[in-house]
Amino acid sequence: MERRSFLKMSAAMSCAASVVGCGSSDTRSSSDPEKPPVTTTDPQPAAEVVNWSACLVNCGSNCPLKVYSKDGVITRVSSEHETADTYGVDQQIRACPRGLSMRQRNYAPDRLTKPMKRVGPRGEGQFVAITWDEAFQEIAAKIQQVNQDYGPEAIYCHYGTGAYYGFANNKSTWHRLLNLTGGFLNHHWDYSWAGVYAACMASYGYQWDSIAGSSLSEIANSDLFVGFGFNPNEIRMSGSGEGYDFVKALESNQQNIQVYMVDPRYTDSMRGLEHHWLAIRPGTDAALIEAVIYQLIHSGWVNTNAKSFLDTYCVGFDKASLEQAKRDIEAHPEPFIQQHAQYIDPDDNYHDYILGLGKYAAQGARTATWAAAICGVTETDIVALADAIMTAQTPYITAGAGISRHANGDQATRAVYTLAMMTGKIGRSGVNSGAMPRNYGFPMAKMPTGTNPVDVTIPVFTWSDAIVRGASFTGISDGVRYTASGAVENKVDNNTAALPHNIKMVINCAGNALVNQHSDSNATAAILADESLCEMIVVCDCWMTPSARYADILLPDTTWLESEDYANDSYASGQLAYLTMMSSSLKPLGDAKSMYDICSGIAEKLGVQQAFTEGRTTQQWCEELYQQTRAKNPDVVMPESYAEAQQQGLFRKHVPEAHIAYRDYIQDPLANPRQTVSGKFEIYSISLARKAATWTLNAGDLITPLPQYVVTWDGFEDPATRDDYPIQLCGYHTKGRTHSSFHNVPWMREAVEDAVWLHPLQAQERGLTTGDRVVVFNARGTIRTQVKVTPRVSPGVAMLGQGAWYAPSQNQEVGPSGHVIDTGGCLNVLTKYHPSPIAKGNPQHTNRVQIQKA
Amino acid sequence: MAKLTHYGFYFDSRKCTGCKACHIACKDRMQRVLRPETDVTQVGVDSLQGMLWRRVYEYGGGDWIAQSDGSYSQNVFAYYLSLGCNHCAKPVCVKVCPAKAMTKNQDTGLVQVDADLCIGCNSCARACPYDAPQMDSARRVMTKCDGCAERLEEGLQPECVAACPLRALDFDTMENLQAKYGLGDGHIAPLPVPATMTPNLIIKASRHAQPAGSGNGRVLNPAEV
Repeated sequence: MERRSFLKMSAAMSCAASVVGCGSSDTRSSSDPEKPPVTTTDPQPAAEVVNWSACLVNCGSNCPLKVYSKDGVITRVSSEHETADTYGVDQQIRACPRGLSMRQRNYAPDRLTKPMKRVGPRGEGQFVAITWDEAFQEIAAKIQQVNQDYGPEAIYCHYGTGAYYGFANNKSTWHRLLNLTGGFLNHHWDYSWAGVYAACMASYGYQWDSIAGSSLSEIANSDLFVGFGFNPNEIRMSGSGEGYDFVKALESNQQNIQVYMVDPRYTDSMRGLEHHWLAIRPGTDAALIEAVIYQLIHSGWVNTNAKSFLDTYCVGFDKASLEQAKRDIEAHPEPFIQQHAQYIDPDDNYHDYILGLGKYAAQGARTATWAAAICGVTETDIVALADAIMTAQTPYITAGAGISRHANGDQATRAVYTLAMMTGKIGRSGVNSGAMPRNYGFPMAKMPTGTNPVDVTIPVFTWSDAIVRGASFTGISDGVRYTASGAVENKVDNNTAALPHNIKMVINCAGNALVNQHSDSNATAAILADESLCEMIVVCDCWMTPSARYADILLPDTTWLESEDYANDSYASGQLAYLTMMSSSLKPLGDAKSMYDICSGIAEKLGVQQAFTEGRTTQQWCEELYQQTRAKNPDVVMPESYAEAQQQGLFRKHVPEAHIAYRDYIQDPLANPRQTVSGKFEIYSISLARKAATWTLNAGDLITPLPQYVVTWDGFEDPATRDDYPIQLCGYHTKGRTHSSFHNVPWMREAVEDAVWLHPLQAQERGLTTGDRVVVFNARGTIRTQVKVTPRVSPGVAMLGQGAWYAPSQNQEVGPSGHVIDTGGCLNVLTKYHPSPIAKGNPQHTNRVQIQKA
Repeated sequence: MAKLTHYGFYFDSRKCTGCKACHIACKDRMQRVLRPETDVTQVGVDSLQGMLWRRVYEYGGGDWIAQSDGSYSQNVFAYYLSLGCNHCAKPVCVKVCPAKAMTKNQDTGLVQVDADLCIGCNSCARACPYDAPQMDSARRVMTKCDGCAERLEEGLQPECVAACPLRALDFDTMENLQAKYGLGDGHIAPLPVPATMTPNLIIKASRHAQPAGSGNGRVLNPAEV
């Protein structure tokens, strides 16, 4: 419709001081007895049936959904309102707008309804329908051929997080199938947290300590909150998730808490909750932190307040600490641990690094003056943050994962962990380790996947390179690991691990990281288009995503709302755990099948169907797994029969008590050693000292035993790109999608505009105003999108919501970079394929670009 | 004569994260109400682009000051305001409607459009300072937030209120809302200063909230409202 200027009208209307906006100003009667009480319980008109389902994307919560339907067609979708909504006891698990838009998504015009086979060049999206039998036969034959010609390591199962089913998820189904036919190449890490894992294993030892920080409810007991890239209200949007927990913890805080948010973007987790926004330049968090720590050390505060903590629980603060560690490791009984002693350099200690002494004399001290010019936060603000940390009794410090998804981003995350250590207060109520908070979860049984005969894995981000040169991948060059590494890489020697073949077959299910969510979409598309490299790509999804266009065989999956399955609350769902027993009265569109039925069909062609199904249907598996899940949760009243459980639909329990990070270790460090090489918190990572000495790195990459701010390619200080591409471009999680899920929902596109956020200074220089069409480009490609001019972003920085769907111009329109313009506005057209030095993870927030009017 | 009941909304801008769950829940119902005949399995669910019975305004501002070392100090702020129809006590849309299509329900005080009477002249939309009337261009008929009247009859909250993940919205008689929340903090920008139509909307202000009619910031998301 035609829109009038709301603001113009507002100005015209103003006449006097604000007046209370209510019709009957002075009546305060408590209730109107003639009116029924207003409640939120859902009605259930007779013509409709209702089934429980859930939203299964990768946002961290799997919100339950009530799906109303008539004659097999959805009439509406709503959140659950089954309880009185008492926070901390049984709050309602209210879905975010994405979950509430599921009706439009379910019936999106690009739904895949038939199995299809590619007919044109790979990637051009030309398919013909085939039968399920033909699809099963083709896939089975290719699995056998690749196994014979190359071996199971050449069959790669890719990352896909678009359908977190408890039962028919891609891992349970496809991994189980492939484990029955000789195995497959799996990956380690993920696109979200690779740098976080690397940092956490370096500092704290155990991979999953990265998400075992103090509960968000502990913020209620804290007098200072410092969040780096911490944005739960846009990332964890569930009405019972981390975002809600964060808000409720601040609401109940009685400690006069001061909230500092460090972020290049003024996020929706601020909006008045923050007392101080430190508008930092992307990729410079470590510089800011080093300057804060300089204040702590140089003022003498550490010596008085934290030195005994550092001496007792940490390795690497000063020379004496490292000398002691070297003696201890030299005397260690395990040969692999003992060999680390040779790499420990006591002169390379944190005290000297920060103060610019000894080995670091030439570099100089990490002062606020030094940091301000780099990170963009003023000296005054840096010193004020340091003062706040020194004054606080219970500082809750945390880092979101975004700061790690940079070139050398693990350094920033380690810097945050180190800052938490330097407070000397880890282990107390209200205090955090710098990690992401621990969440509660509903234990859930899954179909066993069997054993994979292939005993090496690759870092997930390197899969596209493994198509080109996987046969040269080793532990030293490309982060190949033995499966036995598990979550304690420090204790395993992966240097000898190697990949024998290039990847020849890719199976990509419920995921869009083939092209859209992987770095350098243009170059990745070219790798995939070369049929001599990867011989077959199988994609299974519900919609024609950009990744689906690259399939050779394209398989239509049923949607969550069409599925009988179950799901728990997922991995970042806050303090309330829950389980949804999903059922459906919908007719699946077209010939869509679940991933279980798809894999069963392929298994039949490979002669392993009985072993795959064990003679069970989906319903029989879900029934069996429900009983196992029920046995795992004796503290929850759950009905005996599966049918009753489906009827009740939703089961929930609140976490019994808050988690305080490392309380046990602080109380008794000898009885509760860490999984680092030294058994302590490591400011100086002994494992990284060995990797720095033994690994082969790409030019410009650096591994340092100490957490250090380093100048990186495409970073703020990168001399090679700063002139041609003067703007730092950083991605963020838009509320309008979960990663790339929901991009094809017009309601969500309207509700949350896709536009590149630009500071007024840069907009003015380019003559741009909000709504202008712009091209954003660098050496890797060009995208076209809208610009949103806003003070909510740091000067010199542009922010773009990640996950928009890659759509190269159909008439081959070429942009300033010399590439065909992506009219979809996909961030990854501009991101670099350059695995991070330690984790070989995705550095997708480190980018430099130019922006101009389209 | 019985006293007229006024239903109204309560909105807590301290809690609102601008997530748009209210906007989408409203849109889902709007499609059911306005396009009940659509065969969604064949053509998808109508988008009704541009029609928003509930809108979420992003309001923000602040200044940046460059330091000589390349760093910046600033006082940036932002907050959200979710707005449907305020079902005003003296609705200007009713007053200006030449076809008597816009009426205020005598039982509930909800302001509603009679589609059979509406001539699509847009007078109400021009008059309303809250942008509540939303033209259904395909039918050339005005539409708007109807307070989820059928849900109210069943004793249920409107879709937007029931959907809110942050529990920032409420809906009830103004008497009940005032008993529960008091009179609120007055209207805040980007709303105009409440004028003679006496909107039924109580607002709790965010720490950053600017007074109604303020020019300290601006609506930052014009494309979304």
